[in-house]
Amino acid sequence: MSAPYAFINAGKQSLSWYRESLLVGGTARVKFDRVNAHLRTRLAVMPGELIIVGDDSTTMCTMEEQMLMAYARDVSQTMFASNEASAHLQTENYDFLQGIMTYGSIGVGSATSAWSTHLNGVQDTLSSVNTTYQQWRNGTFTKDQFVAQRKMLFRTLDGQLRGIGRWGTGLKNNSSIKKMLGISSKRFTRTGEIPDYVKNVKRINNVARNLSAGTMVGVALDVGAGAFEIREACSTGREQACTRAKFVEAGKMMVGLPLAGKGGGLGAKAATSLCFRMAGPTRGVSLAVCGIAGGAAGAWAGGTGGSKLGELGAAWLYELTGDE
Amino acid sequence: MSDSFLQGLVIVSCVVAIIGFGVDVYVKYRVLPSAEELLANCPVVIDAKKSWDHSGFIGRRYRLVAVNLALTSTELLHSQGLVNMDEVQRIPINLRRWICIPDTIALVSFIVGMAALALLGKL
Repeated sequence: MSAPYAFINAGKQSLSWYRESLLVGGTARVKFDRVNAHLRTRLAVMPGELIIVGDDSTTMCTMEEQMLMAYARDVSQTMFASNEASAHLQTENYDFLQGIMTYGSIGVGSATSAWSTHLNGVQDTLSSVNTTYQQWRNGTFTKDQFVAQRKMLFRTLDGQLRGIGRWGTGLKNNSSIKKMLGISSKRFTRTGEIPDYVKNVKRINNVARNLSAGTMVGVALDVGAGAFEIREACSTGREQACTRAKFVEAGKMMVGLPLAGKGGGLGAKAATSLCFRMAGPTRGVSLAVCGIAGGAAGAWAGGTGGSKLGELGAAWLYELTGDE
Repeated sequence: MSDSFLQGLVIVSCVVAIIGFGVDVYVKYRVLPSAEELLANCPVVIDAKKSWDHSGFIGRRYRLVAVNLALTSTELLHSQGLVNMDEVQRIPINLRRWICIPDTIALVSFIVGMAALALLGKL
């Protein structure tokens, strides 16, 4: 019995080419088609997609094969919208992109969580505008009170959406806020709700939620990649390789993650300082945006360098302890 | 320089990074609130606190960046009306040390570690 395995397709290739070059027997051919059902409907296999070579000693699908099939299906579905060029780029630069996603996202995530706070602020103001209109409609406010309250909220919203503050809100740049929100007092009296209000709030909320998850994604990717390397080394059955992998991966994480954080801070400081000198931004949002680029670059540099330092440091420590 | 010396530098750099993380936690949770309290009228600190107040541990890093900028780029920020000079001058020396020295040590240690890796041909 041979164990099933999967490999990543490097370039655009037809499935029949793989069928012919990998297999010989009739049973193996049937099994190959069965385990690669996710590719059957396509003329060509895209770069980055998984190709499974099954266990040819049985026609039934084993648990391991089913697990590989699920992974392969996930990859194909994820890459469904990609064209050949972008799929090829992903496959060729997988390690580099993974590095950016892991450490860059620690910096981007923390910086963009500030953006998420800003977007939540916009959402709160929109909610207050809605409440003000409703209170006026219910007769809680006199016309003067309503106009004063609305003026104050529109001024707040105007400040929040100035310049790049509009990014992620999905609100168009119109001459007036009333036009931008699609509201007029008369129409509101008739319909009772701000047109597009729900749509805007939903959109802003989605962007804010996705952005604030960035840091956790970065940390989870790094921990996940480390755990995978350890499992891979330990599954070969060599105790020495397994212990070494535990040492090295722990070292990479213990040094890489703190340095990614520290690098993000130093990068953000350098970028913010540079922004002040070059452009002299005012306050709040501009300051947060200046930190994004610097934070991401610093975190990526710190994390990548720290990971390398941790890897080699831990490997040498392992050798030292192993020699004793 | 011998290889074992350079390897030693790499290991020291790793140890500094790990200890630095512990120091970072202390600075972010014990020193930062005190410094922010003393810089209560500096717009750069107020804005950073407002933006990153609910962003947990990593958000504190950016608040610390704002305090660090207020202490190290005071003249520049003052010219743009982003700091209150009196408040910055009143910051005690021990708080300044906690905020500025760990970052400098981390940066120097990282550069030394990377230089050692480069000299060993492992970069």
